[in-house]
Amino acid sequence: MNISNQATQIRDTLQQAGNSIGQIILGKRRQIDLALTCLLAGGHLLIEDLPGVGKTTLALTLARTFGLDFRRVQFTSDLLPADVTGISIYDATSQQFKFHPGPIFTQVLLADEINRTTPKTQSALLEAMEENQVTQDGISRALPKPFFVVATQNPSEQIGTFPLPESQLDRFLMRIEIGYPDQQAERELLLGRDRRQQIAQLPVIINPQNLLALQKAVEEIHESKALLDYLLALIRSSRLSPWFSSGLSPRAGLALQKCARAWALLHGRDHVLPEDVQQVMPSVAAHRLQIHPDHQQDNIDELVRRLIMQVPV
Amino acid sequence: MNQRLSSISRDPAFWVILPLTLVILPHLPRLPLWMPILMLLLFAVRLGAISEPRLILHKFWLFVIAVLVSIGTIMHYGTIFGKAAGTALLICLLAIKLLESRSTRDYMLLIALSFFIIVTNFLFTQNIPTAVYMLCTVVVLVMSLITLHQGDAALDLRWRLQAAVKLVALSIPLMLVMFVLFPRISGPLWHMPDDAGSGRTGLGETMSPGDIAQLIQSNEVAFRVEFTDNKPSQDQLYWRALVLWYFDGRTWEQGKQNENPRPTLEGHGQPVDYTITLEPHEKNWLFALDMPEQAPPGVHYNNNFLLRSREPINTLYRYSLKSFLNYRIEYQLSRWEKSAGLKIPPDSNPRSVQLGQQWRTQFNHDEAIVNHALQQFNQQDYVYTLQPPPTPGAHPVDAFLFNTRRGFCEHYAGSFTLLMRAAGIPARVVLGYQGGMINPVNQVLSVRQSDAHAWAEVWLPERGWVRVDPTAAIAPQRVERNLDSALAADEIRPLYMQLDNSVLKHLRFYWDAVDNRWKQWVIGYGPKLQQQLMRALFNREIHYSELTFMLMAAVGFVALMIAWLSFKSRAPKETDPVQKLYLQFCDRLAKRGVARNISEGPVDFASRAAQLYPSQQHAIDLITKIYINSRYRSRTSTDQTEKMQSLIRNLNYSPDKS
Amino acid sequence: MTTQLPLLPGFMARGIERWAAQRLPKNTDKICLDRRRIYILPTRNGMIFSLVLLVILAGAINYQNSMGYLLTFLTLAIMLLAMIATHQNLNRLCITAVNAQSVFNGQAAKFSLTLSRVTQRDYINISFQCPEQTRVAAHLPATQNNTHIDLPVMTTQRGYCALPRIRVFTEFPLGLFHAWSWIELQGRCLVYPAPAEHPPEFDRRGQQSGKHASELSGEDEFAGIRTYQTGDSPKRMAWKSIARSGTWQTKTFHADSDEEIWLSWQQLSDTLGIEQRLSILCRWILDAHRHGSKYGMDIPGTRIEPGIGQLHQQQCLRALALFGFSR
Repeated sequence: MNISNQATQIRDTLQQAGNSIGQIILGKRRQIDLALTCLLAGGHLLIEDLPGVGKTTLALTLARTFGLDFRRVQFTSDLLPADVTGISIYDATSQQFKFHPGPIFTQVLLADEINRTTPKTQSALLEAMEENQVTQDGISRALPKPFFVVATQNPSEQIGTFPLPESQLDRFLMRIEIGYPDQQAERELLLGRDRRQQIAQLPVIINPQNLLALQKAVEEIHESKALLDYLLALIRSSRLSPWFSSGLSPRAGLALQKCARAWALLHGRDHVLPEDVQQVMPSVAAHRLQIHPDHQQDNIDELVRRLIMQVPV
Repeated sequence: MNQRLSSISRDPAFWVILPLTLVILPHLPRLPLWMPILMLLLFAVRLGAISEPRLILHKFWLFVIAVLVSIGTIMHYGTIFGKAAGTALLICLLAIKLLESRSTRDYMLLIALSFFIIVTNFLFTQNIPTAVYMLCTVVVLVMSLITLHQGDAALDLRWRLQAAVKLVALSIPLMLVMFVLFPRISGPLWHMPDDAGSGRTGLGETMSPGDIAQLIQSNEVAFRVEFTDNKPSQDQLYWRALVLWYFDGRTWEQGKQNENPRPTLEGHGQPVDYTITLEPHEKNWLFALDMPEQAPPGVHYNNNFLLRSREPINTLYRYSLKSFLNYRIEYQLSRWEKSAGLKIPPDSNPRSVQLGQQWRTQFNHDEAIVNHALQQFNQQDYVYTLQPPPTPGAHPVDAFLFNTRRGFCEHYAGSFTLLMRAAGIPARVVLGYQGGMINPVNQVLSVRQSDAHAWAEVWLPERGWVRVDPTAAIAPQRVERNLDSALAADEIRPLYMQLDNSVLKHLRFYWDAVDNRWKQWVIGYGPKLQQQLMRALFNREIHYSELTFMLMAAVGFVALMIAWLSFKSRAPKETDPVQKLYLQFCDRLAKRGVARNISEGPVDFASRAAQLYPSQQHAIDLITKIYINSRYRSRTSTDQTEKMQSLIRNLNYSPDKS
Repeated sequence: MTTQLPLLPGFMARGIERWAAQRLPKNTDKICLDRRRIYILPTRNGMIFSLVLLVILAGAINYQNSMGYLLTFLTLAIMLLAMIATHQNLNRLCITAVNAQSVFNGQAAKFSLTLSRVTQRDYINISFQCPEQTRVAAHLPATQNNTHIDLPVMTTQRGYCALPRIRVFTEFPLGLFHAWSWIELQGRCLVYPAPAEHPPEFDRRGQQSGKHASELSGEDEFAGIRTYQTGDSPKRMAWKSIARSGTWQTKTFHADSDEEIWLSWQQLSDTLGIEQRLSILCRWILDAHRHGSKYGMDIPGTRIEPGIGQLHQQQCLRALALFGFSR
């Protein structure tokens, strides 16, 4: 597939999908674009926000628009790993252990309030996310393709939570916040019909096969030497910056690259611009960086933005 | 092995050994043979010590070696003072010091002293190759300094070489300014012990058979002559330097001089006007065309019509003269001259003396005797050759005249003078040069050692002292053209003559012309030339204090210029033409209120710029598009670049505030 | 090695430094050196060279030796340009200080300095030195836009250690001139108390759990099965699972995270000085962290709830480091 010729067409399709989602999630176009980017880049999405801002709706709408299976797991403190991945049960009739797949065997998994469950269960999910398979009793079972986890998390200040450790946050390609809708959007929200019902009526715009093709197309987006230099400069300056205890890992660099490509494709380009990197960087980098103790009072997103401002294009 | 070599070449010690070797190299041919061998040994040991530290010698042994070397120097030179001995000893001690050097501090001292060694070489030679060699050596020394002070930067060889070359090249203009303006004073500040045997080639103060033939082997320039008008014909170019009166049967000498006044010279015709640039020959005689009208200022003009300076000529010496080619020395023969000019050593060369006496009885006229003698040389089977057979024994002139009959100018001049004296005609031998070669490139006549010549002067009653050149009778080509044409075809010629094919000859003329300039303007640049130059520039005398002030000002100015030109801070270089254009575009917009933030991408910037200049949106978008195509899509084409250029040029910046 | 200047007696050097220090900009984390604060003097080697040059000049005058003059002036010109080059080797070099990673008292705080440029020149062999500290050399070739060095500063007391005044100097390229400048940059390093080498045994009386720290090494609750990796203890083999699947498998356990220990000021005898107590607490924290225990810390003025992990450890150590200081 030649990207250059099809870039515009792809953009139109994706924009259409974005618009479709935008009918449900009002006034959150940027978050929708980021979520689409994450999906295109083949990574998993972590949404961190207060309950009730539309995290679940976003995941549901995404699944619907791409015609993907959707399952939801509400993570609670008593949820066990097997409740997510599945369990082998002895079947008396066949005298064998039979594997009962857990909810993870789906194309879009909404892991709601992931920080409410124990680290054990969290890591079971994250391992599956990383390896795209579930290993139970020595047998590996591949997860369906595409496989997209949207995890939501309440801000960690809330009581009774197990915040995800830094090493596991890294498994999420992006972390976004949705935030309250603005006045206009909120008004429409209140005037509108039932969301769930609307979602069910949404058309499927991109089928799963097309999504896989798009994910491949992301790989073909061109990056010039100048852009790579810029990317490297960003990563390097994150490591040198006094604001962070440690800078971006090489894996984070790869994630940033992938997201920038997906963002470029989403905007109908066959090449990455510095703007693409800048747009996705806060979502990609913020949850991978540790604020230095001396700058505890600063907001991490704000620091990332300041970092971007410091690095010359 | 290769790895080992490269590790050695990275060691700082290597970077001291290398320049030291280069500095010492030109001295080697002048040193007694054991010194180069010793130094080779010392350097090899030090080089080996880089990878094998056990080879570092104990201080005690170095001290012993130093004492031995000093003794050896005294034994060879008879002193440790003086140019040759002092230099030799210094070089040896430096090589010994190298052996115990291990710290940067020691290395720096050695490098500083290297500069001193370089300059000692200039006491012996100051030609252009030496200067070029010096420049190369200084580059290597600067490289060494860079290497010693790079820390752990591990700069590669090319970087260091480039830096050193750049530094030296930039120093040259400063050097020239200082060279020209530094106030020159004449005369030595103190006298150094002179070396008797400094061994320059040139005329000696005596003449024995074979002396000149040996001198001919050298092609070195003795002096150069610029004629103001036309050059006289070749056979008139007799450059006199010495007059030899005394003969002991084999060797002619100047002998004791007398204090008689110089006879008057009666010149005929227009005198020849010329300037001589004399190479330092460490003797006090000056050369002049027969016969100079008067001596240049500060030079003694003696009764043999010879020019004598007060000091030996140690530096290039330039003087102007007028000479009469047709002259008459009108006077009575003094008693001293008569006795000295007729003196024949007793009991030597009896056959020759007898022949002379026989001629006296045969002819009644002095001139007839002279002509007869020349005829004899011309008609009998005398041969003019560079390789005369040796004439040992007590009677060399007899042996030459009657047996071998093969000789060079000194044989003919000497035997002719003896024959004349035997015939009762006062005669003397004159030593000097004859001829010279005009360089067609700059019309300067250069007289070389190979032009060395001996001829005779006889006193004839009506005419006074008259020049007679017996060589001209045997081989007229020698005086009319040059030595080469006078020699027989099968004669073995000196190397330089064999190599003298036309291409080489041509090159040599050019080289000689350059060399002449160099000698005159660089080596000969002294107080006289400096004042001359200042007068030409400012049209008045320039005092030393003014000169010093000018020196300071000029050096300061040139240094600042160089600093500004070479070290002025440049913005990071941009090689990509599109990027350059884009930066230019950003610059222009910045001047009109839309400055691009360093972190602003091109699309963001374009949209911001288009907000302020809506009418230019199209152009801005196009420029941005071309830029993005080139920088982020890696697609560049020349016509796009040109288009971008014209778009930028035609942007209309008047903000349309609607 | 001292920061004394070459060829200057100590009192003069100190005088210059005092004077220069007044002119230094304060409270900045980035300095670009410029000619107003770069000083330059010949080195000892520079003086030796000048001396040799003087001798050569005398010789040239005496012998009227033109090439002697040429060499003298060439060398003089080279020295002059070397002076400019040495000056340029510092000029317009920018230095940014970045705080150092926290260290324990007695270790060297490594302040990270970033060198960057305004020009396109090579900066070679530039030394950085704090008083009574080791020298660090840096190079910033033209091909690089910036470079980083770690400047070690020995710490002698806990709390914040400020980056001292740094002397930046160079003798490159020829070593004939010494150009230098002083810089004062903002930068500080949190210095934890030195961990006590022989701490008293941790007293477990009054703790909620009597378990010994070494037993808290994650051998409590069955957590799952994973593929065998070389080095796994045979005790942990999941034999049942192996029999079933035919592949080697190992059981994994999780530490019971409910076990908590409290490290408190009161546990330590009053006879110990403040610093000693802090040192001991520091050692305990390190040990507890290593064993994976969940620990809390209670010192006068600060109480940190039990927790685990790197951040928690840092928080505790930080409290110790800043104990008694009003920040």
